Amino acid sequence: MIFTMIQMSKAQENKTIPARRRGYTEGIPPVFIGLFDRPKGHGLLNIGNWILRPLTVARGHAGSRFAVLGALLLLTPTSQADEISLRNGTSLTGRVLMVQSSSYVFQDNASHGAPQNVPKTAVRYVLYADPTMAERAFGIRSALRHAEGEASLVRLLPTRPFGQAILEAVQNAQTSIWVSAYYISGSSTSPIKDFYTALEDKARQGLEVIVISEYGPGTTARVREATYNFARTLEQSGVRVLFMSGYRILHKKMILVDNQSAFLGSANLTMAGTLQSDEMNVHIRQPAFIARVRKDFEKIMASAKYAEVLKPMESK
Amino acid sequence: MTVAFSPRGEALHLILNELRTATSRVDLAQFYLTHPDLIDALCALPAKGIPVRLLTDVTMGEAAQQPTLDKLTRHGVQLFLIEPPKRGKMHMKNLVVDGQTVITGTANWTQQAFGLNCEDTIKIASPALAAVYLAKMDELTASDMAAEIHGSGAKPERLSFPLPKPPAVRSPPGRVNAPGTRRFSAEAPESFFLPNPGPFEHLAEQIRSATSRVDVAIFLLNEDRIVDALTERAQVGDCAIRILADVGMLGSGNLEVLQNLAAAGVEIRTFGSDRESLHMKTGIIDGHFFWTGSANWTKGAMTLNIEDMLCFDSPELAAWYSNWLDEFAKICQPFVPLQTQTTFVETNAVPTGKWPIGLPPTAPRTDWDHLVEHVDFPPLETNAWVAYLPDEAYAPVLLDLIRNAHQTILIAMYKLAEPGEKVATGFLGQIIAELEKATARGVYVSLLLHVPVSPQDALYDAHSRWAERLRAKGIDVRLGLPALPMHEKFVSVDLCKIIVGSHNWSEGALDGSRVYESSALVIYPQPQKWLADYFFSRPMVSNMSSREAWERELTLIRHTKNMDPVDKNQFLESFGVKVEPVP
Repeated sequence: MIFTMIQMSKAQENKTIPARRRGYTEGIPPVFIGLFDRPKGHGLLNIGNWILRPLTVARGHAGSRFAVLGALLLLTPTSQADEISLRNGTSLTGRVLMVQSSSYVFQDNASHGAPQNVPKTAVRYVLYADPTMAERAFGIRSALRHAEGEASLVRLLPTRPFGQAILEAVQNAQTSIWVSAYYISGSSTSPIKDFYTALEDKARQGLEVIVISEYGPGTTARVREATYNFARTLEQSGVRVLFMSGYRILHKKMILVDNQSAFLGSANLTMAGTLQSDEMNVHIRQPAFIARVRKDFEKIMASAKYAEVLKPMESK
Repeated sequence: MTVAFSPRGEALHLILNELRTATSRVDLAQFYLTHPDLIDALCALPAKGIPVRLLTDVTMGEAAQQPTLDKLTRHGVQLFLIEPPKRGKMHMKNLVVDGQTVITGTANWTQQAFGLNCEDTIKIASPALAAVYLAKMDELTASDMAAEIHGSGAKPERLSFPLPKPPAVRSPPGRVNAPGTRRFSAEAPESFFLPNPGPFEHLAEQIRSATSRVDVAIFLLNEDRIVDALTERAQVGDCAIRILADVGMLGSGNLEVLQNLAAAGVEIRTFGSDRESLHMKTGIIDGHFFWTGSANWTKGAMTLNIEDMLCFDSPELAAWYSNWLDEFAKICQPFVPLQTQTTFVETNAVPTGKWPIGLPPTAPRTDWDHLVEHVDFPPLETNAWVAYLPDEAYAPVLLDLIRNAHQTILIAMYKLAEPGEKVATGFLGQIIAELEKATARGVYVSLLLHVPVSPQDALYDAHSRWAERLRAKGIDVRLGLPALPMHEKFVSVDLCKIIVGSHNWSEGALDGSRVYESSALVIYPQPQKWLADYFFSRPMVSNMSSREAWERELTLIRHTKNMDPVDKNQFLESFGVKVEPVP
């Protein structure tokens, strides 16, 4: 039997590259070869320290992923196995033989000895080398009942990559840009400065650019005034500016570009949100998801108001 | 002479009324103005044939304020941006009506100033004083610091002149409303314009020769002359000195001023949060001299800024200010100096046999360098399944993920509602209960919470209480550092099911009744180590062994924020903290 193998020693990877600098690229989709279905934590066949496994997924460094493509393999040494990160910050590598209700039966690479019980209450997280094992241990398939449609490329964007990504998305927009924001404010600092410049350019070019933001009594005067004033500035370039001004606060932070591509998350469209604070955002292009975002946007838009009909707010 | 205080007092009413009754001209120097009613009131004047000249700081020239400036010029307000040299500020907040009456004080023309801050506004009917202020404005507009801004020529919209709003009656819980306006007949004050060390010397001299009592309410105080005078006077011990300071003074550098003053015997109380400030710049000496104006008592105000300061000699006026400060002092927090004794537990590591069971050990901080450096983390790009979770769709999915968690729940949350009775029955109560159940079945739950800059922010207390309560249940609550906001709303279950979005854990967000929110569920086919690496790379408090321990660490972090490394190490060592030597 011959399998195509994409694999790299995780232990080696972890030791040589500091965690913060590692370039994570997991664009290679996991490949399952369904010939083997490993029963509860055991390899199909154990021969000494070697185990016959179904395929393992590449967890490679960006620059090196092509180096290991195409290798042929029958047997994998057990050293390329599971990792248990313990609550004191140390970790164990070896093989999870079995998951019990309150512990892992674990064979440590270091000892090569008899399996031992690692209590769950001592474990931070477990990474399985084998995707089938992980999928079972964490009930990934059963969680899919909450999801809709096919899997697609998802980008998880911390603060600065988010700033860059939304700038590029707006610069490349073809037909429309819809923004829902809690707090927007101009800045002289990139990327948010360039983001708004691009937004205004697109509005002048005739794209449908809509910004809905919060102007209600539930928000601090400082945020409300800054948002209002800046939105009115955008209006001068042809951006359609709307406000939510009711009891319920508009806190959705979303950007929908060309009705194809959605960004959402925690970041306000301010200098802090794209450069300074810790933020987490996501970029999704999956059609079913986009359709829902659009529908929600339209719902909000239906109850939003133009600046001219707003009442000035009293301080809280 | 008429005095009005904020918050929620009649100051706004007083100014609007004065603008309404102006007959010939209005001249004003305002550091920052965004209050829509005041802006409308100004805009309505030129149409009535009353010229308006406005001097404002160059700060107002920023993009966000462009519409305000446009509106003013469009309606015929003559507008000058003033840019003092060396990044000084045109910091005055005054108004001269008809060349007869001066209104000055500490309040910027913003909604926060009149609605939330502690401020004073004082109207003085004195043509002589008005002439002094007008001469100062003439001097500024003729100088090369001034740039006149002309309108775009667009047609002004029709304005309806707003009626002055009656003052609010209700005060929020734990807060006070300022008293109504009060008239006095008093001698015109002595007036000073800064930059100029004169008034500070004068004030310091008065403090030194005080015989019974000095009362100060100040936004920012660190000018050496005044600090020294206060310290020396307090050390003698026969003169009661009280300082009400804004909570911003607890931040870097200025905490030391408060520590030294407290050590000298000054009574200190603080007030404020991210949303409200004690913004007064007032000193009352022996119940008859009394100072106010736009200037904080700092070196920057004295040497760089354009400011006004007034000194009155009026027992009646001083008594009225004292009454208000006494009232306000009741809602200020007593200042507690840092103790140099170390009495806290060194670690909360549970003594274990073979395995590190339960809460991970935490220990006193050793890496005092690069506390809050932004970690540039690359994005995670991979295929996944997704679902859109708007508004009330979020909580049920979150609860289901937690119920089905097998080993690891990592949460970074900007805001949790206050722990209390309401929480117990709502979604947040259910979420917390499920997290406790997960912990009991061996799942590792880590909850990273934001810490606001101000220790008096209610959110800090709420998060601290959550930390105490949940750590006792075995949930590894960590507090972020009070510099960069930890603004995420991020949940990861078993490193493969995550929720990212805008939902904070407040009841109104979770049940969709108060806030419109959007989040996304992302399910990865495989656990992503990236998520753990990212999560544990966030800056957080090191010593979570007790509330005393983390408050101590946070206080030291706040204080040493901008110190240079050598000073910082010396300072930390004086508090018994072990530090690495500076290379």
